[in-house]
Amino acid sequence: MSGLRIEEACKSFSARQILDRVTLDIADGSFAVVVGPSGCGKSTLLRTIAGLEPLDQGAIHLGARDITRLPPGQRDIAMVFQSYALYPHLTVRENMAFALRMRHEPANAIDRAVRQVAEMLDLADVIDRKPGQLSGGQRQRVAIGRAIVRKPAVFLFDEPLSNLDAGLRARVRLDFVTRHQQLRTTTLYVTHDQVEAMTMADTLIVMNQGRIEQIGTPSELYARPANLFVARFLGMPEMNLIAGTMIETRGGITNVMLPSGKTLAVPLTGAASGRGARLTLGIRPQDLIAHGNGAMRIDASVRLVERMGSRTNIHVVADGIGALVWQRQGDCAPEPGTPVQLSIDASALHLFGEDGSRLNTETLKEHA
Amino acid sequence: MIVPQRAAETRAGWLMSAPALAAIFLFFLVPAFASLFLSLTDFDIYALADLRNLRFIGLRNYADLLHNPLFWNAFLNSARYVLFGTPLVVGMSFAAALLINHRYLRWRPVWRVILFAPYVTTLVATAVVWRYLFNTEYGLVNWMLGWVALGPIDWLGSPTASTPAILLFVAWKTFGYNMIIFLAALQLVPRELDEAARLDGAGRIGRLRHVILPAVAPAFLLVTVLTIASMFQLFAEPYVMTEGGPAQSTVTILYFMYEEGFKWWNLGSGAAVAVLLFLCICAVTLVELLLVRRNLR
Repeated sequence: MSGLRIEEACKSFSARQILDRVTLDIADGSFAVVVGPSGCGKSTLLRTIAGLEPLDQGAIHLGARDITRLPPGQRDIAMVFQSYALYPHLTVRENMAFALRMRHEPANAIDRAVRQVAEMLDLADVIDRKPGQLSGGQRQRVAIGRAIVRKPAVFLFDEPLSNLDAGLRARVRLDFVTRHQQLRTTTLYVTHDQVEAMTMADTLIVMNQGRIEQIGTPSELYARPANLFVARFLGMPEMNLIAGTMIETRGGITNVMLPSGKTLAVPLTGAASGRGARLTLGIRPQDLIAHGNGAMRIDASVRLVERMGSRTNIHVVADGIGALVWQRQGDCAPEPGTPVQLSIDASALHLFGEDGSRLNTETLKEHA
Repeated sequence: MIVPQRAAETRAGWLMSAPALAAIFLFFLVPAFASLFLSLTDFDIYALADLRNLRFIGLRNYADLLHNPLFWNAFLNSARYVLFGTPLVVGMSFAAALLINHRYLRWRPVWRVILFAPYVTTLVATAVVWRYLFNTEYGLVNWMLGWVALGPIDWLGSPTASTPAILLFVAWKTFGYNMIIFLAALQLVPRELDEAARLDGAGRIGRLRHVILPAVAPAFLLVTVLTIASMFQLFAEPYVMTEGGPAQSTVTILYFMYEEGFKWWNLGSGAAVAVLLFLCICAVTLVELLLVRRNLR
């Protein structure tokens, strides 16, 4: 059993709080991804788990073991760094064998383990080369191989794909998922790339300013963001946010007045805010409907078009609302200045209160 | 047209490096070849007075030197400085650089300045201070040795203690410069390498041996070559502290060359010493480079 549990972890550098009472449970064998903007504390979280930074407060448990005060080498944790941190004077074979040599394992056992991992990662042909003679992708695989060969209880990955070009990154992403399905080792993966986060994670953890904003499966977080930060952070293009004012709640329906003066009926139960409370309505770009018969019609004009091939992002300016992004399937390119009529499907609306936390609790429209 | 452009670039390159090349030619190559020429003559005080007294004597200066016990004494003294002084200076410099580079060290710039300061202080002034420190009756060194019931030692008056005394002074005076070279090399070692080794279970010694030392090996080679060359060329330190004594025990090759050339005005013989010293430093450096290259393979 090697699930990872972090309890009330706090870490600060000088006066700056980097981790603020972080509590986290990562199930044995799962692939958890921590995502957040630069400086949110995600790498520090990884480093404290690895033992490279001591915690100011809190505890870290690996299975039944309390590893909070153990030195990095005794935690049974392997880490792949963003820069890969390969020993430049050692060959691929020696890099992968290093941890086993430090454990004084027998030479033939080390050789067997290294060969096995090198073959698994297609590194057998370059096993006697030094890191300087390898491509970026090969170096990255050596770094992973160095972690795998130790057979640790937990893998930590600190943005390991960020130095690769886009095409290679997509391939390696799939490779990561495949390897994890083979090994089933508990993995904590840090990235600022939401595509990596959404596609790889069993469990997605969104961090901001040293705190965990939300934990769940990627689809849960995407469909039901707990607050405005998560709503804006996940999804590309970003969720459209529209300011509104609550008029009344009756029979599970809340009437919200938009800046344009129009009202919108939103299915909402258990709203804590009263009449006059400021709200934020969120609608994903693909949930705006063209010429639809939704709850509210919006008159807008096209400002800018981003053609992505399989879909098109159309930036519009809506009357009384402001800038919105509308996403359509397929390739279409209305001319800038073209008037368009959009409508909002109320079942796809996300509603956030004055403090930014989510208000609607019912099941929302399922996203394709 | 590619060829004329390359020719123009080549010409510009030569023009830009010409001032530096001229300076090297005038201040290094000309004196070096002049020394080589002088070493083949009997250039002395009579030749200084009238160049017609200058005679070409072939390798006689070299033959005389190789039969001169004072030269061999100076050579052995210098070899002793190289043998014991180089590891002492390199070790001290590297240890100081490791301490200064420690991530938890506070007031790092202050420590850096304090440890580098001896290198930029005036040699003669500091040598006089160290003479007081080594004073047999009132010196701080003997006073401290007294705490552990040792001494007193006649540091600068005894043939056996004078070499260690001068070596200590030389090490104190020069380690700051090498420390800066090591520090620059250490700061280039990515922190992740050390961290990866910690995660791989390497202890302090393991990390030093397997991560830090290989990464700073080029700096080690540079510092060792520079230190060997400077140890072979020790002059001012024994000149100020012991004047070569007692009993010629601190006369170095350079000191011997100075005496030959400027005390006894045997400038031809002095030039021959300089050429032999040059060959000696070249030979040691080449051997060191060959050893390092073989180890790297």
